[in-house]
Amino acid sequence: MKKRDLLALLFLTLAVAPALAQTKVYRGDTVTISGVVRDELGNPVAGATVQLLDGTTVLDSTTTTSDGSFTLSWTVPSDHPLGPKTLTVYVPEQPSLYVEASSTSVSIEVWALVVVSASGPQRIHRGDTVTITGSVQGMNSGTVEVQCNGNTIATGSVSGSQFSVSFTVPNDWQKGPITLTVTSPGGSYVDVQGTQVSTELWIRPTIEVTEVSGG
Amino acid sequence: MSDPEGGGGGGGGGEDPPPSKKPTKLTIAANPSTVEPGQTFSVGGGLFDASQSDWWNYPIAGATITVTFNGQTKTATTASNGGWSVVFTAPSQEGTYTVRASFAGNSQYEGTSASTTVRVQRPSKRNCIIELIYPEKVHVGDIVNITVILRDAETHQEIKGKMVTLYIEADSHQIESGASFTIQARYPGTIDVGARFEGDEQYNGAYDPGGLIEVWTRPSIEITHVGCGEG
Repeated sequence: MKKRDLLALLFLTLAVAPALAQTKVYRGDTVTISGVVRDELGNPVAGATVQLLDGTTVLDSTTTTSDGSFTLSWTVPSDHPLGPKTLTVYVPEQPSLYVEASSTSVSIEVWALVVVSASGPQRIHRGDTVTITGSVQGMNSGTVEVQCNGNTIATGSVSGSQFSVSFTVPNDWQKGPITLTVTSPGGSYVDVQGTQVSTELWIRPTIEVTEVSGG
Repeated sequence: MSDPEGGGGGGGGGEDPPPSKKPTKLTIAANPSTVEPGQTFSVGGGLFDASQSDWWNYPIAGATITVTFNGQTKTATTASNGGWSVVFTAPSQEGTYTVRASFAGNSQYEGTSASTTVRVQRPSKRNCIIELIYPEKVHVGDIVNITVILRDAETHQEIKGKMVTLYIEADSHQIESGASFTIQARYPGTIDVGARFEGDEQYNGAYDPGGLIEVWTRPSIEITHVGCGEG
């Protein structure tokens, strides 16, 4: 395809793109779509039926108010496929109102929100094998990562929303409070809300006796 | 048959009784018998010897027939078949007029007269029909043309230049037949149209109840907000 054709295609795509940017919607959330139905002269059309369609499935239906406005809503099922989705706002033909059929499309993106909760020991020591356990909401399988100062120090797998990740405390960690971040790499159309586990690195000092002298 | 003039004088005059005259029969007819003002029509008939047998009219030729109609007098001379004819022009005043023809009589024949009537009336008004031309379905914002055509009910010829009342909903507009009236469809619903012609000297009035123009909308759907919250 020539460059000019590509440009033309780009402009065409822009021209038919909906005015509103795609709205990000998490599974389980309720999308609300508000709008106004007007006639050719811009006057509001009152009392008209407006439907929200997913293909041919009616998700919601309402009637316009005296100023032509309407609000439709739809709760995204928790198992709905992720990714972009086009819904149709449809005004069916209504002979009693002399209203012909009309439609417009609304683009949304269905995202998953993964919320990690985790807990670990309150006190750790160099060389300890530390186990962080927790659960992941919104994700049945996948991986979790334990990070410290941006470095991944351990990964583990999620099974049945539960996980358990172990690592050995490196010897170069300094004593004092330590914040571990537990998160998941997520994926396409997945937002991850990680969690932080606070712990403290304590020192078990070794006492070296250098000299024992008599009196 | 007795002689009414000669037979009765029985008195003792020494004069000879006048020679008996033969009775006559005068026929008359107007053609046409119903005319429009200003139209010419003929009145004619025949003069016959009534002493002859009833089943054969013996014509009297060369007799003078005086015909009067609406104050006018015309004369005609009977032809060899006894026929005579004159032509009149109908007056402007409508009505039924009597046309009287008379034969004064002569030495041979008795005088006689006959009459008929002529009806003078204006031509009856013609009927016309209104043809309303309008779209059955338009859309909001459309410019709608409504045309009123007046036609002769018989010939279906278009009659131009008559003022016709066009009814659009509660409004009425005077427009010339054959012309169009333009409105803009503003709201979804219907527009009731009809037309009336009041009639004039030539044509009777006419009315067309018309009908409804359906005004539809292809609505635009403006999305003002797409939002989400927890379900």
